Amino acid sequence: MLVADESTPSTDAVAKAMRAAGHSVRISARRPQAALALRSGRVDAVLADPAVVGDEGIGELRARIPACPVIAWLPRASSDRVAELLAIGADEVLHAGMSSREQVARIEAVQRRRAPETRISKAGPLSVDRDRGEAMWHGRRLPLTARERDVLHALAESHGQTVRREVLYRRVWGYAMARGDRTVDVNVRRLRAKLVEAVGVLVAIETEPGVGYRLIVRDNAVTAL
Amino acid sequence: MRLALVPRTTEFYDLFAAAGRTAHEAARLAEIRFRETPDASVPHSRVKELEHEGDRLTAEIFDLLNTQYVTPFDREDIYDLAKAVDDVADYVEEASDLLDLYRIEAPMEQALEQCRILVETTAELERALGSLRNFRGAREAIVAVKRLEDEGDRVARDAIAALFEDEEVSPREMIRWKDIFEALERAIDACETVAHAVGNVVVKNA
Repeated sequence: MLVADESTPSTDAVAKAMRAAGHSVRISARRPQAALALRSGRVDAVLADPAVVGDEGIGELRARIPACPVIAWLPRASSDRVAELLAIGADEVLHAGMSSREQVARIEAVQRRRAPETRISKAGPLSVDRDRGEAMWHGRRLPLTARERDVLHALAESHGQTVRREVLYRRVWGYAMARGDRTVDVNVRRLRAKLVEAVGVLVAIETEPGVGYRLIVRDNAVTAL
Repeated sequence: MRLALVPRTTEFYDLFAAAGRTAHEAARLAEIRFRETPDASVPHSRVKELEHEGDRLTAEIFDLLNTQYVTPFDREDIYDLAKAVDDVADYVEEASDLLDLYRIEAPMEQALEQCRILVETTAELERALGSLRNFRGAREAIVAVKRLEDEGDRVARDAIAALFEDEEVSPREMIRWKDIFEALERAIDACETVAHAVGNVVVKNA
């Protein structure tokens, strides 16, 4: 969990309770650090105090990290303020009237509700499970590195649509791709070679020149997309 | 130390020509390493060997300079030229080493462009250093080196700008590539220093 911008005694208390419950908490006192942590894709919830980031800050977080739960903090229970914060994008609102146990339980509940649904991507007999670290073809494990698996996952979840290099880079590496960076091309080249060796021509990564790549899966002459 | 009165001037020519070939070969291998990274067919140790060969040739030139009464050019010019050529191989080796040190996952197009310029520039240096006996083609090679160095400056500036265009580029990538772009730029700049040194010799002796 990330505590965005400055921490306050109240948000510190929530952070302490979350740590006691076994969660990793990062407090970013400066906005650039918080932005960087969010972009890394390793944050699964953000706690922000509207008194520090402003109501517009809550809305901005919601827009910038659509897949990540945004939790707002209130110093005291107020039905109107809870409704306002939920309306502008908060997924949950905690307040000082709740016990630490309830605060932690609510954060965990919102994390469960927002958990990504695409940890497993499938394209015909091909499946990539990021949690288990497995890429399978007809139930047979493919010998891919973690990076190659992530690239394959990102391509498979796009269902045959071309994925732009920049998008692929952001999904797999978690950052913006610098102009001229060939990381995606090199990893796709290696992945292609391994797929040809392990699967043959039934799985192909096609290049759309100047744009990106798309995954085509054929099995028994059926295009499974 | 005794100074030899019988001139061995041809040895200077041969050693400078060999140093030029060595610098060019180091640049050529470094270019292959960048182009093929992370599955480079050329290990860094081969570039390192050439850098050591460059050091050996420089030491031999200095030894000859210290033992010869008669030298083909001014002693200061020979010293400056030998040191400048040695720097080229040193900087090429440094850039090649960073590929392994920073665990580079894939090349950047701008670095490949810098490598292309570096290979062309060192080819011109080889030509210039091989012409010291009669200076045939030396002026053209010097002009070509200066033109390539200008091109290298433009590519290096564009390369560094590319790292800062988007504020969401990974800081790790920025640190890695800024260092590499600058190392390649130093190697190309060192070629221009050699061209200046050759130019001094040509002006005084041609």
